[in-house]
Amino acid sequence: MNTASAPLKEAMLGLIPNLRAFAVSLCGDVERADDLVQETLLKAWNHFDSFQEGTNLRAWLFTILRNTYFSECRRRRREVEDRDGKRAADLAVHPDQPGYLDMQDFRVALNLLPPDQREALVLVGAAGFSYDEAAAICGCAVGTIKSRVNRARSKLTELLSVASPHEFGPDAATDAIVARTAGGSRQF
Amino acid sequence: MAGNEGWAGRASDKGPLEEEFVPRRGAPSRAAVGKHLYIAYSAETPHTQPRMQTTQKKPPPADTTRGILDRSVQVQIGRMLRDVFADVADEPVPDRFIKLLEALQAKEKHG
Repeated sequence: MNTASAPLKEAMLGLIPNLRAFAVSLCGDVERADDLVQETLLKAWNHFDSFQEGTNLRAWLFTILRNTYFSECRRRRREVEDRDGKRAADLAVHPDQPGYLDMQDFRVALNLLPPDQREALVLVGAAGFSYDEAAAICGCAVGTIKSRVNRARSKLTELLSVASPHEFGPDAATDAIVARTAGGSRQF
Repeated sequence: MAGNEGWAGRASDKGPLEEEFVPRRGAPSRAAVGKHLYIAYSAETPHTQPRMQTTQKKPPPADTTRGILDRSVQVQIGRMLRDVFADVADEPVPDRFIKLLEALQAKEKHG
């Protein structure tokens, strides 16, 4: 184990940025994400003998992180629901800054997705895992991952289209400003 | 009507006017999104009609417009998803993790 620890440390160090990004996408909170990453690193280090040599270390660490997160979630479910309720409200009242707004809307919408869909979408669409790898990480069938990704995309499309119907047209910025400064008539 | 399956052209790589859009059979559906995005914006490009093997010259019916808009949203979603991820992934590794790994390694050496 002594000889293995130096390369392991380097490999883990190199994967921390990805782990943090994944953790933030799961829990939507940087501080909590970093706690998750810390717990993941500790678990991985202490249980490294259960890692199968030659398999994907990145996928293994992602698996530990998501399992840690979801078992924590089961303990704090009510709190999570409260938070999502608050975020739904955030989607209706956002700042009037067109450039910033898109991304802010997107973040809010992303966090409104059911956790399993958001996770599948992030693994495949952002972290660059294949459907197979994502299925292994989440411990489910490939078909399940595919359908989660599809449902996540549809839901986001719906959320973003409703939140900002003109955002993607030619006069997006102008329309958005006009619509938003016109007052709170655009309810949904 | 080749090219219904997808287009192996990435609008971001080359300008939309001089690229060669190579129809590719069995391309992932994400590639097809590029085609629709292109159609959606082609109304704004003033000169040179692209060499598109499509017969759609008339304005598409409302349903199609809706579809194009949705696909354009899909493209945006893909981009923002990667941006959101990169926002965090591009940050330097916080000190606490460097220290943690050093401590774990040190413990291993002495224990």
